[in-house]
Order: sequence, then C-alpha cells, then structure tokens
Amino acid sequence: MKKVYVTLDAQPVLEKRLAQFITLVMVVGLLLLGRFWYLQILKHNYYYELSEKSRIRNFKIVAPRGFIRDRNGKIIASSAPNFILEITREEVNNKDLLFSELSKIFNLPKEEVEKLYKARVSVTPQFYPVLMFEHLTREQIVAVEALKWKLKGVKISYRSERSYPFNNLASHLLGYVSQIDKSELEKIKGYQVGTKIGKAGLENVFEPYLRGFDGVERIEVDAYGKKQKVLYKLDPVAGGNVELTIDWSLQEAAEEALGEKNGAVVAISTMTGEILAMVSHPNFDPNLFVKGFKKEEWLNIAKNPFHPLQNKALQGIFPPGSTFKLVTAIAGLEEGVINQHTRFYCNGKKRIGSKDFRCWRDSGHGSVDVHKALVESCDVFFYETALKVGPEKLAYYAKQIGLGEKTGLELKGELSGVVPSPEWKRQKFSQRWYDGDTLPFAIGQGYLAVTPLQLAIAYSTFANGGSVLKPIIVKQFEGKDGKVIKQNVPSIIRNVRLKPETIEAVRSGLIGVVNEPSGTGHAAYIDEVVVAGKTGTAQVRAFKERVKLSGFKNDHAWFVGFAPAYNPEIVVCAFVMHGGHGGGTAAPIVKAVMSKYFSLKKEVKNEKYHKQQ
Amino acid sequence: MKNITNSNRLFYEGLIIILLIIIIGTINIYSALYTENGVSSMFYKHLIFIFIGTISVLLIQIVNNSYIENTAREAFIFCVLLLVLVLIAGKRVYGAKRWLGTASFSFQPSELIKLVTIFYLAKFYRYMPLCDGGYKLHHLILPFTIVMIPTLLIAKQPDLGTALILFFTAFFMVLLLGINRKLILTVFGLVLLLSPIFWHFLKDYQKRRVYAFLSPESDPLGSGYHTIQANIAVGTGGFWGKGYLKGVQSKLGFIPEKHTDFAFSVFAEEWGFIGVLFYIIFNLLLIHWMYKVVKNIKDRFVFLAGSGIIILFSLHFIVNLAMVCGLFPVVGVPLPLFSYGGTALIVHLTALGFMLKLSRTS
Repeated sequence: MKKVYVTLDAQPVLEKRLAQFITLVMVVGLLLLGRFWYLQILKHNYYYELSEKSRIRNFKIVAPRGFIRDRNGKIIASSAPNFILEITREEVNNKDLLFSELSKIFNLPKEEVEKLYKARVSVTPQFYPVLMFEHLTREQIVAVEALKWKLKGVKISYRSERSYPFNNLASHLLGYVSQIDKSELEKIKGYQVGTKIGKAGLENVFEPYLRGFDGVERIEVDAYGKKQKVLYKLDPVAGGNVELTIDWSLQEAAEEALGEKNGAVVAISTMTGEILAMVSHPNFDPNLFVKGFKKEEWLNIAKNPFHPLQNKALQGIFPPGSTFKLVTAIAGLEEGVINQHTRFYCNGKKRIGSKDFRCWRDSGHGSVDVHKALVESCDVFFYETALKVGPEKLAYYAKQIGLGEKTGLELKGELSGVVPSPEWKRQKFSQRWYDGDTLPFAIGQGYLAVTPLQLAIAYSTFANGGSVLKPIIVKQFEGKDGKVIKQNVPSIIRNVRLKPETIEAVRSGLIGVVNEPSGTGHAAYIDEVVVAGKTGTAQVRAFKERVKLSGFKNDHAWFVGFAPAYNPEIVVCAFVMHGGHGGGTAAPIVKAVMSKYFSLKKEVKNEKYHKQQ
Repeated sequence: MKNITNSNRLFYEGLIIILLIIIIGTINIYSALYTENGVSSMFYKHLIFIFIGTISVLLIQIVNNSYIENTAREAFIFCVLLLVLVLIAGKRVYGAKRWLGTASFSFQPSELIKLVTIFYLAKFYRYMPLCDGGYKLHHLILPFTIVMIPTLLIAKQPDLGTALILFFTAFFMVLLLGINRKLILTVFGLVLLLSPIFWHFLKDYQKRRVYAFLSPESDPLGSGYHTIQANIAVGTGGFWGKGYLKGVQSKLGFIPEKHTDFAFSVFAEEWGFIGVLFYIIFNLLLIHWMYKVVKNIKDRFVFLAGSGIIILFSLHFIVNLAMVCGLFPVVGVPLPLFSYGGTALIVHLTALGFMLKLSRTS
C-alpha cells in the first residue's frame, strides 16, 4: 500500500476542490433561477387562478320576493328565512368524514349525500359555495354547529324565501314558487340555477314584478376561511309588491263556507269587475312547493281525483243548470217572444216528438209567468220560451252576456267553455240541431258548459245593467322602491243592451227566488239587504267509471246571487261539485259570503263615523 | 501599497454585498410581519438582533485566529452540552425542543454549533496530512463520531433540517481534503439499501413531508399544503411581482412560516421574478466573494474554517430556495440573513464578520 503524505503541496489541491465546489453552487444557483422562471413566468396564470380559488369567496345574497297583499294591505304571501347548508369546496379537508357526518345529521345514506354533492357541484359556478341542504331544522343547525370544529368548509346561512302564512287558503289564486328547472333556465333570461321562480297562479303571471334581483358579495378570505375584506358587493334589489283586489276577510269567509266540499266560490264587484274572493277546493299548501314535497304529500295531491291543482273557478267547466234560465229569460224578453205577462202551462213535462222533457217537479207548476218560472225554476216555461226564441238567438245572448268565452282574467289556464249552437253542432259532430237539443240548452244542460267565473261575470252583467266587465285581480303594482307604478282600472269588454222591462221582470223573479217562501234559493236570504239570485242543479251525465265512486253520483249544485238587488255591488257564485241541490248546498255558501260582505261594509262605515266624531 | 489597496477593495466589496443582502432581508421581514394593524413587534426584535450581530462582527475583528483555534474544542464541547441541556430543559414550540431560555429571550444552540463545528473540524484537520486517493474509512471514524454527536442531538429535537445542514457541511469540508471514492460509493449504496430502515425511524410528520414532496397534489390541504401554497405564492408573483406589502397569498396565512423558513416566498410574490433574479445574483456574488477571500489563504486552519463557512452558506441558500420553489421537501432550513430568527442571524453575521476580517488580512 502506497501512502503519500503531503503537507506543503496540499494547498493547490484544496484550492482546486474549493473552486469545483463553488462552480457547482453557481450551477445549482442558476438551476434554481430557472425553476423560479418556470413558476413565475411560464406557470404564472395557472398559479394566479389557484390563488384566486383559495382566496376569493362569492356569496349570493338572495333578494326578497315582493309581497302579495290583499286590498286592505294584509300580507298573504310574504318572506321567511330559510336556513341552508353550503359547502365551500376549497376549504373541505376531509370529504369522507364530511359526507358521513352529514349523512348522520340529515338521515340519508352516505352515497346519497355524495351523489347530491356531485350533482350540485356540477351546476354551481366557480368560487361559489355548493348548496347542499335547505330548510334546516333547529336540531340540524345545532348538530352541524357542534361539529364545525371538525367539519371544515361547512357553512350555515340563511336566505329569504317565499312563505305563505295562510297555507292552503287562496292557493290557486296565489300559485307557488319553486326551483327553476332546466327548460325554464334556457327559455327565460336572467335567472341562475337554484333560483325560485313563480310557477303557477299570480306568482307565475306577475313574476316580473315580484322577483327581486339577487346580490353578490365577493370577499377575500385568509387560509382559515375568515373574511378579510369585501372586494365587491352588489346589493340585492327586493321585488315589487302586488296588491290584489281580494278582500281577505271575504276570502276567508268563502273558504270557510265552502269548507271541505269540492267546488269553487267567486265573488266579484259588479261595479268594477274586481274579484273580491276566489276559492277552489280541493286546494293545496303552496309552502310545500317551496320546501319540496315528501313522497306522501305529493301522492295526496297527485292521486286526488278532484285535481287539487286545478283552479275550478276558471279551469272547471260544468253545465250551469238552472242558473242559465237568466239567459233564456233575457233572450225571450229581449226578442219579444214573451213579456212579463206571458204565461205557459206546466203539467210536469214537455213532449217533443216521442220524447218527454221533464220539469223537475213531476206534478207540474200549472200556469206560470216569467216571475214564477224564475222563482220556482219551472223548466217547462223555459222550454217553451227557448223554442220560440230559437237556439241561435239563445246562443247569441249567452255569448253576449259573457258565457262561452274567456273572461280575460290575468291568470293562466282559463277555459272558454262551450255555448252550443246549430252551427257549432254541425262543425263539431256534423249533425243538425234538433228541438231536442234546444230544450236542455234552455235550462243549462246538454252541451252547455261554463266556468264559475263566467257565470259570475254573466250575473254581474245583468246586475249592473248590461256591462260585461273584465275581471280584475290586481289593484296595483308597487315598484321596487315601494311607489305605485301601475294601477288597474275597471274596463268594460262590451255593453249588452237590455230593455228596462227586461231587467225589471227578471230582477223581480231573481228577488223572488231568495225572498219568496216558494223560492228555490231561500237559503241565501239575509236580513241586511235584498239578495237576488238563481239556483242551479246540473245533472251529471253518468260517467261509467266514476259512478262507482259515491262522491260522483250527485248533481252539481250552483247558486249565483247579487245584492243589494236594486243597487248591486257584489255578485257571488258558488259551485259545489256533486253537491246535490243548488238551493240546499250552494245557496248557504252565497249567503255566508254576502252577510260577511255587508257586515264588513257596516264596520267600515262605523269606523268612518267614529273618525268624524 | 498595491496589496493594501487590493485587500481593501475586497473588504469593501464584501461589505457592500453583505449590507445589500441584510437590507433586502430586513425590508422583506418587515413585509412578512406586516398586517393591516401595523407591523408585528417581532420586526423590532429583528432589528435588535442585527444590532447584536453587528457588535459580534466588530468583536470578531479583534479576536485572534489562533485564539479561535485554541478554544475550538472547548467551545465545541460547551455547545454539545448546551444541546443536551436543550433536550432536558428546552422550550417546546410546535412539538419541537429547539430553544433555551424564556419567552422573551431564547437562544438556539443548534445554530451556534454549526459555526463551532466548522472551527473544530478546521482545527482537527490543521496538521492532518492528506491521503493519496482520499481518506479511508479508518481515517474518518473519529471526525465522523465528532460530527455525529451534535447531529444526532439536533435530529432528536427534532430539527432534521439543521441536522442535515450540519452533517453535510462537515461532509463537504472533509470532501475538500479528499475521501476515498470507493468509500463514498459504498456508503452511498449502503444508505440506499438501508433507507427503508431509516424510513421506519422517521417521525410521521417527516414521512408525510417526503410524501408531499413526491406528489404535493395528492393531499393539497394536508402535508402537500406548504409546497402548493409556496408555489402559488411564488407563481402569482409573476415577472414584476405584486408590489411591496401587497403579497396577499403569503399574508392571508396560506404560508405558515412566512417570516422564517418561507420568507423568500413572500419576497418572490411581492418582487416577482425580477426580484428573485437580483437576490439570487447577490447571493451567488456573496459566495463568490467568500471564495475569493479564502482561496489564497495559506493557513490551513483559516482556509478550512473559511471553506466551511462557504459550504454552510451555500447549503442554506440552495436548500432553502429549493424548498420554497418546490424542488426539495419541506425541511425547515432558514435562508441566512433573510429568515427571521435571532440566533441564526447573529451566528451568520458573525461568520460573515470572520470572512470580512479575512478579507482585510489576506
């Protein structure tokens, strides 16, 4: 082994090695510089985006929807806080733990929570938290808050949300809001995923007035998600309010009077066409649409054979029964085929060809004039009248007075119904019109089909002396700043010329219906004012499959009344599906609404009087 | 006469570079410690440390090199005892015992021993002849033992970064003197072979850091966090930087050790690539200046001590920057004169003071 010990010669060796080391350091230094070049120049945009993600948070500030109020300012669709749980993606440290904890709190399988999260992430814009659960209960909020120390990225906050304080009342009128769906998002501009939009009723029609504009707050957070400063803030703009023509006290009275019976009640001001109350039953709780249905809640609605979502006041078409005798009487009197003294003899039936057309009273009414015919609802009198007038003229007057056409109410889905005529029958069935068609027509049966709203309009036309009014549901719109931006004024669709004698003859008959002992509508009598009106009992054609259900056996019950008889202010139409006799089932409903209306009026008067004192 | 001018020039050149680096570091520490409510009181402590460091620089000018050489062994033993004391009675911060003293004044012996070990090794090899073909194993057992004592004590704190720096500074010093190539390859092979066993002895957080280094994106909010966030901070700086005091990414708490080990990420974010470029150049100039000071020194002790200091600064510089830009696992190695930390600052200033003294006399 050769060992050479160097002491003096060592210096150049050491210097050389040190120089090598220094060179190495210089090279590594340049490599580091290259790495910084890569990060700061080449990957700058990538890291800039990452930085924004970890630093920026956006929060949606949901604008409150405008209120819906009744004519006296009572709020019937308001806002309520909705507690929601959101997940800030960038802050989540342990997804697995998060999902399993949420699955416990919200009583869902973990896979469902995960699926929900994925679905929601796919529709949530960047830098926004992911909305997971809504309508948290107090217990859920407490449970989440208690877990916050280990559930990073979870946030509970609240949003303003539509609330219907009276639940089922006026549900068809108000409609409902619920989450906007994909097709709506594509069709309507200016909405974001997750927004709640008016889908039915007034909520739907007046969406542009009621909707607010959501705000956003963009904040900068530190590494712990704590707010550092507000980078940008767009304040939400609340929606405008809508004030209805509905009088909520009257609406409640009508709802109560109809009760659990299926049908509709419509109350209209005969002077202005303002709808004072509109009820349809069965109804639904619009709050469920906002919050989301439980399965059995939805089945209750979907499986109900009476279609709770249908507004029977304007979407239900039914034969008006004897309430149509108003039109037959007017047609006869106006055409001069009868006058107030004309009498026909009723022996209980009218024979046409080989077929007997019966009067509802088998024993007959004897000799009747128009007054008695209306009071006792004699069918034979109107058979005779209609035969003299002819179906064309009858149809003409029916249409003139407002039947068989849409009333033009600002709600979607209104049906026009059917007013038959020889022309109509030829087109529809390619058959000629027989006298056997005229007789049922005269007493509101057969092909004739109207909505309760149309019938109310028809009676209001007669009551106010011949003006077909367009029904109004909204009194005024308030803008986002609370100022009135639009007021609805009464509008007349057309005038029907009615001779004073016609009016007088028919009115006395309608008064008799309610006020005479033999009148069919005596159940609508009230002490305060004179009520005039007409009952109707519409025979139900036996639908084979339906007849099995006992609820479908009975005839439909109608009553339409107006008051005060000589200076009418209000018309009320009550319709009860399969309710039996109009005088027995529908008239008391009208009575209840009428007496409420006039007692409210008295209250208002008293108030005014006291104020003056 | 000419000689004096030359050495004066060298002295002033070093002084200017050192001052520049201290000024940049101080400006950056101010930013790293700055919040909307003003600057943290730690900044004023930093200024005090610079002051103490300056006194130390002045003191070392009047200390004779032979005095340092004569006391090197005693100083080394004293520092080792301090390290033992740290393990017994040290202050625990973030799960590691690294400090001696109270809350208001504490002292980190592991920083001091880096310099002391350099001096002791230089003294050890002063009269040791070189070996043709490099030292063999039996030559190295004694110095290896000497170095491993503080290294293991520091690793036990645990402070893996400082332990590695200490070990490799010593390694490169001996490498200057020459180590048998076969021996290096054998040891390297053995370490590779035995690494699974070492892995077993690593602490959990150390293992996670290695994982995180290998693939930071696998656990972005866990152990890969430092690396990703540091990369983001550096990357968002771009070419011109975000401007002084405007480095949101580091300020908002995304960078946990923003004033110590990751101070450079604050700098890179605020001053951009242009700032990084100048800072790296200044550091390379500093190292080159130290090389110029040392290379002609005939005194073996002084030469080796100077070389050791060069190696120490180079390793700190490279490892810290590599860590900040994601090329090296997060191992807690501060950047000299740039990271906050009193003992380190004073020790590094003293070391540079030693170099300045050499530059005057060489």
